[in-house]
Amino acid sequence: MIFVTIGLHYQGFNRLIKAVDELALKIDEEVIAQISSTKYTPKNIEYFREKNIEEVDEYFKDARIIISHAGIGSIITALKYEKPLIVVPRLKKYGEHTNDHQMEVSRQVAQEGKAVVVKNINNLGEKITTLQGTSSVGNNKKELVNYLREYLNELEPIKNN
Amino acid sequence: MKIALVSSHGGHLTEVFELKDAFKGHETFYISYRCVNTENLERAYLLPNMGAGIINFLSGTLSILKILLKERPKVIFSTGAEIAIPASFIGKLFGAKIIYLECSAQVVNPSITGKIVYHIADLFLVQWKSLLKKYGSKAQYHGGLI
Repeated sequence: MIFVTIGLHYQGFNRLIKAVDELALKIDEEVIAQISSTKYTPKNIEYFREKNIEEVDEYFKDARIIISHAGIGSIITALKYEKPLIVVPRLKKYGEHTNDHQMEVSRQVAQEGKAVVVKNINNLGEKITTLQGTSSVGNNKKELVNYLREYLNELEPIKNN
Repeated sequence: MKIALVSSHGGHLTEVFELKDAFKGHETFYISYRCVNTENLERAYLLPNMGAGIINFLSGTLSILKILLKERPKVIFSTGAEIAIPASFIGKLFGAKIIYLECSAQVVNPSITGKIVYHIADLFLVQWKSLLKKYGSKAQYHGGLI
């Protein structure tokens, strides 16, 4: 299954949802999309607008690959479940976001090999067929959690009951 | 130790969830926005989205003042967005330690919230080394969520 997710941002993401809806006719795999406030109504795929974080997590776990906007929540969750990830940044010029900040993190995850980034939506189909390997968080997260825990512990040690 | 976990909904909140192991053993409560992701959250104060306009921002600030007066946390931990600003300033006034983690979306450019909270944060963390040079010497890098 391919899970497509665009987060909870109030602007829709017609460009991506329309593209996966059309691509679904050409690929032999189930596609499920979370579309929040996107105006385009998918015709060929299963979709829902919003679900809570635990329910959405289940789709991430079940998916073979993830296609998402370049939102942090989506990227972090895909990496957590070590799923191959295609990221399509929302762009201001198409009314998909209020600015182009999604390009910034897109460049970074592409550079680190943690996701494939698609800017031109016409290339999405090709990227789906050629996507290989998995993505993962690495040790960065452990380092951050440990540092924070130590810092808090120095402020006030945890009481053992 | 009582810790207030402060963040807007969406990715900022996902970051807080991903860090939950860091807070184990401490008493925590959330201050966030009401949405599909927060409605089942325990020990949570849920406000209307403060990024949606000045009225929401001001009424949210008042709510945060009341919440912090009541809870008196020793630490305010926030990943942004704008909700971090009143929570950090009010928390500081009450003597809380302010910990701010710049969102992993900020790779080379600081967020507006980060630039404001930087001045009063006791611990200011970024998630990419490339962002360190955009902040002063107080900013630190100790890993990140991506």
